[in-house]
Amino acid sequence: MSEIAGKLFSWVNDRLPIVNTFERHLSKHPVPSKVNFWYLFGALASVVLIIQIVSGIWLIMPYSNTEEEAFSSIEYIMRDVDYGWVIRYIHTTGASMFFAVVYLHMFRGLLYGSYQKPKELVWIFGCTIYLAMMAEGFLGYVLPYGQMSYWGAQVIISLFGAIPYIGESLELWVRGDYYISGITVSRFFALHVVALPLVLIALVFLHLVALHEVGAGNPEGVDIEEFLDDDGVPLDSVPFFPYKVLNALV
Amino acid sequence: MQDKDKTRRKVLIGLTSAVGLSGLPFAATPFIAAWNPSAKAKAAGAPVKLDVSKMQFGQQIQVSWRKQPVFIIRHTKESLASLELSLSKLADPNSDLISEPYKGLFPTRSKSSEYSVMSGVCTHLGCAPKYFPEVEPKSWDATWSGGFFCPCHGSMFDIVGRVFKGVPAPTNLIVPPHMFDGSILTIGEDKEL
Repeated sequence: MSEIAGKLFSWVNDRLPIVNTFERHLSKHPVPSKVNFWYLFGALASVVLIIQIVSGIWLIMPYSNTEEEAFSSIEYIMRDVDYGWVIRYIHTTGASMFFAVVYLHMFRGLLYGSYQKPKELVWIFGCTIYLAMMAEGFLGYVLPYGQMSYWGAQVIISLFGAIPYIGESLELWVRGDYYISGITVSRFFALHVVALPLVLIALVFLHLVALHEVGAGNPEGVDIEEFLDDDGVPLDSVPFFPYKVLNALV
Repeated sequence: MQDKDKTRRKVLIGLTSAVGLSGLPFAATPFIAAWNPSAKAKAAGAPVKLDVSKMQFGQQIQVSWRKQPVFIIRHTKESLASLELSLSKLADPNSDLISEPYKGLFPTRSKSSEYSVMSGVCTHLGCAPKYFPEVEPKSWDATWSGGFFCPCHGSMFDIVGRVFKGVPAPTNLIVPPHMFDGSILTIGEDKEL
């Protein structure tokens, strides 16, 4: 049985580099052994992203994106669904934690000059992720369709109205109505649960690939690529898994 | 790195992983539990109560419990006596093929000697069998002695819902848990079960 499974796996692996990709980007990615705890928050941010995706999927199940039922479906989640309140608070608190973690991650970037050559693209992708996160957070805030959601949406959508000439028609176009209504809620729902998560995941992927191409910064100023072992792995490094993954989880 | 240090590092990794993994069941609990029927679904599926004392003898009524029809029949003495007539036609007269809550209590298969309570869903493909209490020759059975006939595929049951031999339905109609408090019948709950 295990032999057949092994054969099947190597058949797939010969055609699709699962092990290679996994080792290159996750389990055996060389990380400077001296990076300090400021280098933890990138991995933590990806953990929070996974938590947000999972709890978000669970919230879609009982949520209703219509004008009549959006708010009452939130009440339903909080009161009637088993552990619904836990899952919703995981998602809302998780959103706040996502920003906290990302701010620390950005602060690290500023401290150690992570935006400098050759990592300009890593930095730019990171800033784009931050923009997408703010949009994602705002859209999610509107979905419960309570007072705070409604007036929050009113204010933020009005920002579009400040743009000269096209502002007012842009505002109307974003809302899809002359005031904030169920039409706005259901399009925000589609953007919040499908469109922006796809954008975020794609950006995170680019952020990581770009980072792994040029390597993480090193506060000690030691170029780890200078001393390589027989396999070409930097000697002064530890594999990302388990050392950095366990760090992040704890 | 010295060998001693490697062993220590292994122990540390093992301990850290164990602590991490022990949190997994706690993290998974809300997500698994959230798929259980919600309080709203449970309330919608709550037991149904009704007063059956106003039913006429021989009358059949239908109530809805968990979006399924439940048949209630108030039998006459004659119709209960006529159960003997079709006994030889039955596939499973003692309900041995299904787990029945009130087996052998009364010929009605319920908790009452006068009323039958059974799911109105044909055990073949889920149609609604129709109630034909009269003892007279029918197009589907020349020696009909009263019972249920399913118009979809011709399954036949006697008046207490026991299935005939040689019909598509495999088992007797299901008896849901129920209880009587005087003439108040509760379907979907039995405190004695």
